[in-house]
Amino acid sequence: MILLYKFFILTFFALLFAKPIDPIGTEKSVLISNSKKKSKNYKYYELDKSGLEFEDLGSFSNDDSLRIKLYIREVIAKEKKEKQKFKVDVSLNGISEIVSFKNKSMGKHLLKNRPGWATTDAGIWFLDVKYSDFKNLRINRKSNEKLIIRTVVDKIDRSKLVSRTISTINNQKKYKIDTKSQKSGKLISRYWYKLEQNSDKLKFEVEGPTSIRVFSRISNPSHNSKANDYSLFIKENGLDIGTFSFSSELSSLSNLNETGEKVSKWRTCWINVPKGKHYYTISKGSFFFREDSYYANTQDTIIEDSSNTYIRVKRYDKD
Amino acid sequence: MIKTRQFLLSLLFFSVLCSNSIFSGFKVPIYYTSSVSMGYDNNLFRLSDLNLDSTLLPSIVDASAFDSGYITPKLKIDYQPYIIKDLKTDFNFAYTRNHYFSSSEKSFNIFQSQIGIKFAPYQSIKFSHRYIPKYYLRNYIDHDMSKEQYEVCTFSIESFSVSYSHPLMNRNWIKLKLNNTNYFYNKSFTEFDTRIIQFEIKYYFRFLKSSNSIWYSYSDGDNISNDNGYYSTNVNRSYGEHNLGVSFKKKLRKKKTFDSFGTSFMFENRFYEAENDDDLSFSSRESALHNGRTHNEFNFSFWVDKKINQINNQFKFKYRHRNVKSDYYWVSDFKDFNKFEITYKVSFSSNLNILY
Repeated sequence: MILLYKFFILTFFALLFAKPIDPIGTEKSVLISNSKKKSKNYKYYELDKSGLEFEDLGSFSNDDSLRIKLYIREVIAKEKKEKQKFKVDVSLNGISEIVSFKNKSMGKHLLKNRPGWATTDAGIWFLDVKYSDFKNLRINRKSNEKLIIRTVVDKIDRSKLVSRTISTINNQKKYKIDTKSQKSGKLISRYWYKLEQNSDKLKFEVEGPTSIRVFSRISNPSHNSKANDYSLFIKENGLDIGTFSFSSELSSLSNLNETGEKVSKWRTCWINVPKGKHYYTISKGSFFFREDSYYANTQDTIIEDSSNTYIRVKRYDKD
Repeated sequence: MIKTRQFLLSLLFFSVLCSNSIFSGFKVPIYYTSSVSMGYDNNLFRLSDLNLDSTLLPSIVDASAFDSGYITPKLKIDYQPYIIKDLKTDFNFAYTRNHYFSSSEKSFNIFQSQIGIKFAPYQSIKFSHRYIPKYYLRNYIDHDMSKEQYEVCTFSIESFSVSYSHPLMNRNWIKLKLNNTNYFYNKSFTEFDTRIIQFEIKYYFRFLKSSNSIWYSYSDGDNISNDNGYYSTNVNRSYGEHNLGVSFKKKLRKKKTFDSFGTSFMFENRFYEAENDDDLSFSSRESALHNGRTHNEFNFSFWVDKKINQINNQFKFKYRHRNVKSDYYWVSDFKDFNKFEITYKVSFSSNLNILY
């Protein structure tokens, strides 16, 4: 199963099994149910002037990454046809942001035991946080509408994905980059392809459905972090699917095995591969802040670009 | 023992009434629609061409002109509690003021209220009340008092109706309506007091992706003050009336200049019951006026709607023509009329959440 599908399935299961959490204090709650499947009820809390505060996300381990998902609906008169807009202030660990929604039309959910009222479609917002980093979540009203909120927490779990490194379709030279493990102090070596200027030699065959992850890094990174901005061009079956831009910085743990050159920290991008066999061409993009640089005393000579871009491609499948 | 049982039963009944679910049925949105219509009426008093050319015109109308601009503000409030579980009850009240710029006398108020119970989509029963306290018709001679002196003729209109709607196939439905309307005239013209019983059948149907209706009604107007002792009441002004109408409304799905347009056409045939073949002289103009008289009236209207930023805008054109037939040649000269109205209406609908 590819990562994308897995993500959707996880999201789906998250909807089913994600754990709703309750705010602290005594807050007024309402039940809503789907107008067609009235047996299933969902508990929402009313967002009054005092707002809602959450301090307990449930039982997780400190290393768990969590997704807090907010379902925000406006309570409207059942016969109101206009699309609604509303906004809330969401504050996670004291860092707040205004989240606004618009064009929310009447949903299929009705308030239980409150005839005459309905709700809009849910405005969804999510926040990802490490369990150990979580202190509190506050939601405050930023508009006068009658809003109800359901908050659910789900563990982000990608551990069951298996990754495999993909090679180019023909034989291309690989470069070994050594990385010193932070935990054990051992050197870990991985093979990378070098992207050459104006070349599209690096071609990969991938059979979908799956997801591939393109790792990239540059050699001789500058201490000026802006000078390490670079990009990759990726084509799928001959068609451009995007220019991926990255910003990196000097890695203190890695270097090229062959020359000892310093390299940057790696950066990645994900590509979803549709069903069937597909061919991906990856070529070198620009170093944005280097191209317009000139020697101070010779206006027409561009500085030689001493950086190379290195890539690795891995596919991720379900166990 | 019996008293204790009654007390316990009362307590139980009261507790059921006071339970949250009962109250929550009353805590529903209050809908309102406010609108203002501005328009022009070219023949405010429905005068015939003869009247319009007459030198008596200043005597027969209390107005600076026989045509007028007007403004009609209206407020409608709609409260739909669920008194009985799953049954929507609909209470609505509307107030309309028709104000004519050229005649304050002609201006009038309309109070409307309605109670409806909706059993299912397209199935409901409604009880309605409509009241116009004072409507100025024009000035007439009070034949009980004088043969020349014109008096103001006004009347009040009060109607009660009950209607039942029933669904048919393919989102079509039918409405049956029984209406009782009383026209009570001011003291100078009580001889015209009439009670009208009307039965209407209206069929709503979809055709060519448009909402249409066709209806027929029959009204029996009973001149209730007939023969009550006054000289003027010896003429029976009772009548029967057939009405046939059709309307068409089409919503334009794609973005166009207008959101929808519609038209309606109505034909009315009224025949006065007084028929005295012997009374063909001019000895009594009053008896001749209604004797064997019939009239056919045509109403045509066309409108377009456009919603801009939740404000509904409507342009409407109405045309009305009445053609009177009588054995007395002069009757039609006084009773025929033509008129048209052009109206621009803006309306806004929303709801109050105060009961949430």
